[in-house]
Amino acid sequence: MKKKQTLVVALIALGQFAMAQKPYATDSIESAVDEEAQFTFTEAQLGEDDDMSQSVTILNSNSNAYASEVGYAFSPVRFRYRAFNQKYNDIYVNGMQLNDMESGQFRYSLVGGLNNQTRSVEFALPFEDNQFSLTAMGGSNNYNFRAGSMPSGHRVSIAGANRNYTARAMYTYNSGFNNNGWAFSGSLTYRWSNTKTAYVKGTFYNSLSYFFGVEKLLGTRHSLSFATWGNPTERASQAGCTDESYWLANSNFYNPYWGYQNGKIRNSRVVNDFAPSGLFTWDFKINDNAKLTTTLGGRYSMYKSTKLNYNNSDNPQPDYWKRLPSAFYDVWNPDNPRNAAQGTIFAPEFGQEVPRNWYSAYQYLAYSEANRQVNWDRLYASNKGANAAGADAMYFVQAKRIDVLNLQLNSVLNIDIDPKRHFTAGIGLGANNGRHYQSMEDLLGSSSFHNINTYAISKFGVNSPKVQYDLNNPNAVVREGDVFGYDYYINIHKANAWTAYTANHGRAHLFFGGKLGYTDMQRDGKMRHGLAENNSYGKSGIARFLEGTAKAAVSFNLGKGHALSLGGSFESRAPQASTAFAAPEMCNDFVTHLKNEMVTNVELSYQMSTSWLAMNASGYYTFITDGTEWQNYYYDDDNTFTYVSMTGVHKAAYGAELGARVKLTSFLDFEALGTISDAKYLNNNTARYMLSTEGTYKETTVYSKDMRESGTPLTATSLGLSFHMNGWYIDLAAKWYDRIYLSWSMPLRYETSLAAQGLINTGVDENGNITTNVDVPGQSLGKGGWMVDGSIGKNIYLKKGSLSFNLSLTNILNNVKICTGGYEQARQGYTTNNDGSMSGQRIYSFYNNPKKFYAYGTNGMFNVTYKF
Amino acid sequence: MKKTLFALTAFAAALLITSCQDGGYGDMDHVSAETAYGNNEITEQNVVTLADVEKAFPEFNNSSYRGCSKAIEQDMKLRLRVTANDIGGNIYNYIACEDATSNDGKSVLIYVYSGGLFSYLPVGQEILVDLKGLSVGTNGNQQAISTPYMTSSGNTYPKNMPFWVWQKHFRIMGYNPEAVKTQEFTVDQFKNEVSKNIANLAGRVVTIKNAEITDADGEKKWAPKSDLASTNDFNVERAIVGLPKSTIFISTSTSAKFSNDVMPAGKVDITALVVRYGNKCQLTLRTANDVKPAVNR
Repeated sequence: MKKKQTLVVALIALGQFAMAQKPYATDSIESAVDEEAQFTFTEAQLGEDDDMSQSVTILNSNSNAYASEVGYAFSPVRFRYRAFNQKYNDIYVNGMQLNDMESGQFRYSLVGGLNNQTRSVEFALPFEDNQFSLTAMGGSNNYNFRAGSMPSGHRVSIAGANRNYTARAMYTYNSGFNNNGWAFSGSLTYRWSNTKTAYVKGTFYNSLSYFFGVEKLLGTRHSLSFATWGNPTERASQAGCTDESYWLANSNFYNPYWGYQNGKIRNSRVVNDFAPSGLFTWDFKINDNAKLTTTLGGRYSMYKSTKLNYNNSDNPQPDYWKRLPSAFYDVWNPDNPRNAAQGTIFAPEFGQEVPRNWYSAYQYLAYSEANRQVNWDRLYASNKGANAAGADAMYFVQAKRIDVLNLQLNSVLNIDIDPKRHFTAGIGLGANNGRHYQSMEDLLGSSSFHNINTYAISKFGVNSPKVQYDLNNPNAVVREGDVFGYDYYINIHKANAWTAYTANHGRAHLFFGGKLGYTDMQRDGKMRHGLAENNSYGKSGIARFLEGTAKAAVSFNLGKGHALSLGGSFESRAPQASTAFAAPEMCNDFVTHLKNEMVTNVELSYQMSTSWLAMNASGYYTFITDGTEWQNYYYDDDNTFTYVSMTGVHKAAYGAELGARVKLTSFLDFEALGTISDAKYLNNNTARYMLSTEGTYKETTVYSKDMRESGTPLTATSLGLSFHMNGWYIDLAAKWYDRIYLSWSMPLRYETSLAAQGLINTGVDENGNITTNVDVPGQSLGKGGWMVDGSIGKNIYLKKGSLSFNLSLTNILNNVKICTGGYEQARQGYTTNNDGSMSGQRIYSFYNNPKKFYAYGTNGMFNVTYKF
Repeated sequence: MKKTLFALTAFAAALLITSCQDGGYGDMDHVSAETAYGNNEITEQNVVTLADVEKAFPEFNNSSYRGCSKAIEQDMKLRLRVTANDIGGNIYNYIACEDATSNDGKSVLIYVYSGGLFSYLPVGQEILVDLKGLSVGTNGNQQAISTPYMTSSGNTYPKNMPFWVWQKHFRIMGYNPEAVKTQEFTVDQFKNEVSKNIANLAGRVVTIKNAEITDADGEKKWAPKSDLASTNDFNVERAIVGLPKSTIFISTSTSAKFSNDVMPAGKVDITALVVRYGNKCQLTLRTANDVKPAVNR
């Protein structure tokens, strides 16, 4: 970390040296004070935690009252626009796409801390045209990182918060263009919290962001710019927990990932993330009506996420289900006769007799914070004991690592054919080389560990080659820092060409666009896995896909501020590499029946714009077929880790959106936002899964029909007032969130599992036809609720520069019962016979105990900015 | 510009002194099983023998087929010595101990709902067990200490003691592996002992000298799933030549680490924990090393 910081500081210092020439100032584009709040809010709470399955959509608009506000307004609950997967939301910098090529998703940490650079952005809604791309189904954004486009001057800000980080300092200097046509920009941001000051105890945040840009005008028609940025970050994570654990800890922010080691808080899940990025942009003004923008860029991202793991023992996580009170007493069925066996004991705090083992678990966890946290002493002691017995480390900290080299070349031509017609076309080429591997971070005092599949030993025997993770280096000793378990590359190439045409004809505005693309992907294994001896080392075959998009929209100006728009698109989209391989940690196999996803999207919008009202109402329907999904689980029925894929997934997302801004007085606006939507699976599918202890595939039907997209409220509304006068800004909004589904578990809905529990029954109807009744478990839901957010700020113009203050407060009413997402546990509530049939019911119910995240309680940030 | 450089320098200096937050937790040399596990407040007062407990609680009498006492209210402690644990994955959620006070070989199983017990309860580890609050009883006449548990089939006996209950009820004492003496038998002697005095063997670690595993042909494995007798079995039973398989057999879990190791053919010395289930003697190997080529062929 220190090395990274030193490098960055040196880079910035170099930048300042280069800026020693006296720049001439240009008028800077000042932003509203509350915009600062938006950035700080978003970066502090959202989109940076890859350990959480959901992320937000980056969305904005100048014309749509709903889209202009919704991304920020609903961000405390991780709202995703139309519940779309984030891969449908494209983010660019100077025309170079930032979305991860493997998952298709944009990671906000790539631009974390670059508030002043990301302020300059061009954005477009799904059926709006733009000057950098064919707009994606979930909207597109293009940050302008040209040094000459940054508002000139100095900007210093200091902030304090009680969110993921507690302190932030930023400094930005933009020179504007000088007489020689040079412009420079440099920025540093530092964000910090420690394990005691962060909102969630045991987490911390240590992040430095840097930006350096330079631009040179070459005559009147050419400009060359270079920008480099990065955000080396080290942060600790928060776990999703069951409601039972939150109850025991008396906090919805209980975090079992940490524990005390020698009196210091140590978090077992620490993410180190750094993606130094850079790009060259050539802007060529061909003539007054045509402009060509070409960007060559790349990044090398290094992501490392640690995790406590175990071998030959139980999961040491303190909220492991075997340790919870409900593992000893069936709280979901108090009449369960097995409850009575343990006897009862008088519990003074409950004033009654309670089950003995349940109560002992309650006392153990509720009355001692240490018991609710990782006991590092025990892990070290056990490792010493295991070593003394000649065994490998029982507990260790491992890291999932992903190093990605991404290179891209993009070129966009914009032509104003005439004042009413505009033509845009572009090409893009990209290559992505991603190394995925696992390393040993800390043996926790043990001196021994081997690169073997310990889970498979009981199936094949310790001397079997099948238990080797790498047959090319069998029984390798694993030391701290060594790679073990898996090591492979995913290589991707992409190419695309696209065009868009817009024209105004009378009252109609027309938009047509099309895109053709090519994607190929390949796995390159660096270990010869014992369970895939001939299919894991070296390169896989290459999967190639052609892609295409057609999009059209028409808007009618109905006069007197009324407008009606209709848009439609069809997209044939290559599957993401992150879902294309059946079990990439083991072998080269592609998912079977892998093919393009077909996406159809239509939207009807009405807009009203008068001197006192800006209002939008939209309805949309999105139909996705042939989707591919991939997950990995611990699967009880086979007592093994599994890699699961589904192809042929059909989904629909539809809903209505409303946004309105009513000017009540010259200084007071009333704002209303709302959406009611649905986003669900339309069919049941075949799940094909590989067992990590066998290397063989199994198939079963998964009852996925009617499962909902998770981690975002499908119903969300906001009613607010916005006051602005004499440099003061005050905003207050009350928001209602509801229908927040949790990520559903495939194994809970496997046909084999349902059949084992007797939940699939056949019968004969009155006409003599055989009927099958499947009792599919309903998808778990999180609780919604009201949340009130507000902000207050003031701009003060000084003799030299300006000073602004802003206080943003979220969840003012401290409603900590709003669930922002989570996931169902994949394990089963029953035990199995050796053939997978049910042998008995567990006391503990995994289905009734999904893991959840809750919205932070009252939290805020106070920020002071001085610009000069 | 001076101000700018000053601000930048100050900012850079602040960053440079900011160090990585992850790491630097100090060494853990002071940590041991004694400091990390168990309850060091348990004192050696009112230490009794397993025979004493048997007299005090009829549910713990080895003539009782299945039963479980209520939580013990008396101040009673046992000093025990670990003789078998879960190191090989064949023993699951329990340990076997012999009475270190009486040294009469009397043994008992302690069920703890937790894995990795071997890391702090190696063979030879002496422990003090505070019985107050725990239950004693039998399952298939096999004596056990734990907390009451009812299986899904409705049987109640001591099992699945919560991890933290166990931590509260034991103290790590001296480590004395040399004191663990397995009782040795010939095949015939063992056959006679089982038929006449199986209660005396229950929970003990024994060695059967110069034995031969019936199925061991140099290829067959201890417990592959394919050799399970029925769908609701998880253990494979292997007979010993000269011993009646209906009552004496080597029982190996399909989850044991050595379950897919090849059984040694020919004459071997078998050291195993005797887990009694009624009149059956289930010989439970701790690790694959418990079976060695016979010393006196």
